[in-house]
Amino acid sequence: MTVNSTSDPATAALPPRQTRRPQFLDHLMRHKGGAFGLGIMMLFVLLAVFGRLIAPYDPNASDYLSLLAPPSGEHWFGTDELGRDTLSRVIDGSRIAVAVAFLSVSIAMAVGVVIGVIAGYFGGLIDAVLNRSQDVLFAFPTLLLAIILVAVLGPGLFNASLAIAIVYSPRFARMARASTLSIQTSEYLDAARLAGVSTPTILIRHILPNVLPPVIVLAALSMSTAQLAYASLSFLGLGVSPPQADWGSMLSKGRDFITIAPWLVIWPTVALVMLMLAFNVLGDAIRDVLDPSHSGPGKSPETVV
Amino acid sequence: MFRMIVTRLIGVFFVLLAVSALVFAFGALIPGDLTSVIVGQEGATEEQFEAVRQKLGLDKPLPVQYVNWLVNALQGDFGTSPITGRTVATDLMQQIPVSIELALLTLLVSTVIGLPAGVIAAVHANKRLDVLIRMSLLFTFSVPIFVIGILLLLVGSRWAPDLFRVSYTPWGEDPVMHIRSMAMPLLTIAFPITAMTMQMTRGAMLEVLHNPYIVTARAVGVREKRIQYLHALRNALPPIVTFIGFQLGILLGGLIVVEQIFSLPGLGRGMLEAINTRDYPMVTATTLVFATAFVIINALVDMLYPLLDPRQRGR
Repeated sequence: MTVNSTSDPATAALPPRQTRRPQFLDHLMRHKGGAFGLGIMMLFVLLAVFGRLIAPYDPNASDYLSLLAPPSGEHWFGTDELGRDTLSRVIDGSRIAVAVAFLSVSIAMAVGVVIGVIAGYFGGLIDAVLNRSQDVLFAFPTLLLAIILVAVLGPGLFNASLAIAIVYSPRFARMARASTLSIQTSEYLDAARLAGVSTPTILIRHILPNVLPPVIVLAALSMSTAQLAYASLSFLGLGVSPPQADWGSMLSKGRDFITIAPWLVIWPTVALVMLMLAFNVLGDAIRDVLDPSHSGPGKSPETVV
Repeated sequence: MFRMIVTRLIGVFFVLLAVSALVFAFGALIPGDLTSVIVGQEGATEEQFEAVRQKLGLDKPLPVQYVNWLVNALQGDFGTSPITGRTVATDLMQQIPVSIELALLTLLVSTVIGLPAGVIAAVHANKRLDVLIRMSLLFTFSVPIFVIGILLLLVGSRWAPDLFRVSYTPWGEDPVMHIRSMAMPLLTIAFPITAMTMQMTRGAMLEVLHNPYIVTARAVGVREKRIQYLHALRNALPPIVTFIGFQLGILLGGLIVVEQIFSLPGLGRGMLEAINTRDYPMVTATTLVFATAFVIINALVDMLYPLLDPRQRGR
């Protein structure tokens, strides 16, 4: 979001945005949890991007001479029932985990912000209709809604992300609506309207920058929830289709071999919990940095699905 | 108070109506259709399709279908499953008790353990015991339910083979085996729910413990345990109970996962199976039951609030 505020008198009141970004990163790195969470997350992002180059084996190649082989020098994390290398599959699975987390939260944020800003700015009937339809979505337990949406949309990476995004978008909409309402009557909006600035411009240039900071905090906190929701879906067999390695489905398959090959469930679990912990810690750090008024370490316990 | 309940009930009615419409829409939107499941893909003539459609009322416009479906559903008739050949209601009657039992046991365990643990954590706030409890909470919140289930399976397969791989046995058949078969699922789902109750209790207690009447009670010489559980907890209760509504969403989602891990023949497993086999009447029925239970219990919890907090009754 770059705001060029030379011609517009109303934007001049806003703090200059260009200097804020590096400062934000600087604060985040100095935050105890921020650096840690960011580090782990970057590690997984790197694994996701370059995983195919780093992985010792092709994640889908079967080695029929070593089925369910325990961890060894050859296969560090052992192999599964088809002789596929667990380490390579865990690395390949990070692609899906990272992609889903970013994709679903981005969609939820985009949809939620658009709906929330429109509802808050225009009010009246639009607001009422949007509010009621959100109430109906809130009437479903989150995982149940995600499951039924995947059933409707069909399986796959994008559809699962879309389902999770639909489930979480009302939260973003509520937050965006509240922020919009709080600046609705501010003087610089009146000034902008009087100056004849068109409604779309007002929404994008004046409302959006004010709505974004709290929404970004919510997005950061939602990453772990989204990743968890996807892991649950994929564990229940509603994620990406089989040959693709994916932590949730690896766990679900590995459950059948839990007595003879515990490494099949241990390593995906370790990866999953590490990434979730990183998202959690990073989310808290981003909230601390962007919203210092928030007190107490209490995080919404909704992370558990 | 009476007026509040009535307005609330009217609101619940409309939410349920909207929920049922959405569930029906989901059922209609799921790819494929019931007719081809019944008739079969190959060798069926157009007349056969038409006959089945007419028999099921699928030739009528969607709004009419919805009203028919809703009227039947309200009478407990969810149609017949094309996959199993049984009526959906028969399957539901077998699945619902399993899920309800697990849910109630979870609430019982989480309250019996979580409430006192929360009180203890609040009383010892920021001391070693409290820090320990909160550390374990951070872990529980970072771990999804199915991971807890898998870890328990891992531990159970080594050290408690009696509880491991016990298939579900109804109470009527063999009570001992029944308890054994429910132990692991209960443990799995009770873990995070208990942690939540504990955290909520701790927070609510901390707010109450600083009140002057607690100081007075101490000064007068009331026993410490009595202060904690009678004076403080009683006043901390309303927010804790309201929180149950929130826990419920997680509990219902957890049921689906736990029933799947441990092969319990409950509502959640029934729903997943129905989705996988494209058993449309079953999918809509299970979804509707889940959502209705969620809405109604949430409303009940809301109405409980004035009962627990007399200050709220005047409105």
